Amino acid sequence: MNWAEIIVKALKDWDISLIAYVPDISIDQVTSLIEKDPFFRLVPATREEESIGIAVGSYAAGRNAAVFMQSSGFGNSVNAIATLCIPARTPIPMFINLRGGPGEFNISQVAMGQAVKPIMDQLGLVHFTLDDDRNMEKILDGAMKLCYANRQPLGVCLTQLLHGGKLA
Amino acid sequence: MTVNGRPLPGGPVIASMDATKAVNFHRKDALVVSTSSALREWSQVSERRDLDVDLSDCMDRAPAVGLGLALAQPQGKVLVLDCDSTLRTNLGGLATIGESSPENLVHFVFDDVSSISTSGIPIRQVDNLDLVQMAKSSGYAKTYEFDKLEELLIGLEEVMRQAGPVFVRVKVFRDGIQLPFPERSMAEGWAEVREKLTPVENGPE
Repeated sequence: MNWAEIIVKALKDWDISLIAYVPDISIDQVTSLIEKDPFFRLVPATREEESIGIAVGSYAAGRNAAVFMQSSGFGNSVNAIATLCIPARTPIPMFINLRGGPGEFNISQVAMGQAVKPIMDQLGLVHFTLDDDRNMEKILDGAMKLCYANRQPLGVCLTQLLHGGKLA
Repeated sequence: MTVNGRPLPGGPVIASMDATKAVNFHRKDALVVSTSSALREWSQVSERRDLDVDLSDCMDRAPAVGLGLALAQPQGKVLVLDCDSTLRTNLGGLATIGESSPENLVHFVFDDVSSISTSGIPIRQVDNLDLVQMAKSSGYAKTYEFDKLEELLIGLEEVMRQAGPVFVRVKVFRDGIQLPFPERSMAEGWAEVREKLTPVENGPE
């Protein structure tokens, strides 16, 4: 399995069947797999904070959900995470394409990309960073277990070293 | 008529609490997500708090949460009780609902001519926003507008039968007295709803 297929397997293993996202080429390697798989319902949103709202609503109604976003979209969604996910104690795995690291070509992506993990630290959220697919299955399985045990959102940062980066 | 010393615009309008009671009368066992001033009133009126998802904060996310509920429980009805002031900050939410087309979702917007949800401060040019037209062009299957209580009470029967997503604009006024937010926390309320809908949960191993 490649890294995208490992993520899809982890989602299935944890019965996470509703995926909310803002369509973007940077996460397309995963979301295109999800879109073809009838196990999932892929829900496009206009903004990342909306994806958070859709995911928490789904969880409240008994269907586990996750969100996919780029680091710039994480910036958009901070208030929804802080005022909705956290006080409602909602476990939402957040898969974040982390821009601004090695291989970045766009100056505009650096500051926000570098701020993602410090912001999650300030919010008290657990997060993991995946630079390659070694042990990825184990890490994701443990991350999902922790997310649901802790009943809080959790970040999984996917770096350009893992997925090859967005094309310039 | 004045609220907080400001004259209200003319034309027919419904007392917001009466509109809220009308929705409750037709609610049956629908899930209800409410926010802002709509939540303050709904929490006083609702007879099924075990099926209510309160948004005490992050108020512009009510349509998104309602969409998540509707997709997760497609066999049941989901009502979103939204306000014009909160929807104005999240107009893209109309497009998201239109694209996903949940047949079981009814999106109410209480269009408050007294501007109580913004503490009586009118939003300049807000009347220029045609929310009903926006909902139509975003892909809502059906839209309704009500400004008379009798027509709302009768019309809600059809609204609840209609395949959605349905958008309902209700022109309301509030008397200037802000009701309190519900005492239960979001975490308590949401856990109650999830437990009601998914009663069998695995405990910690």
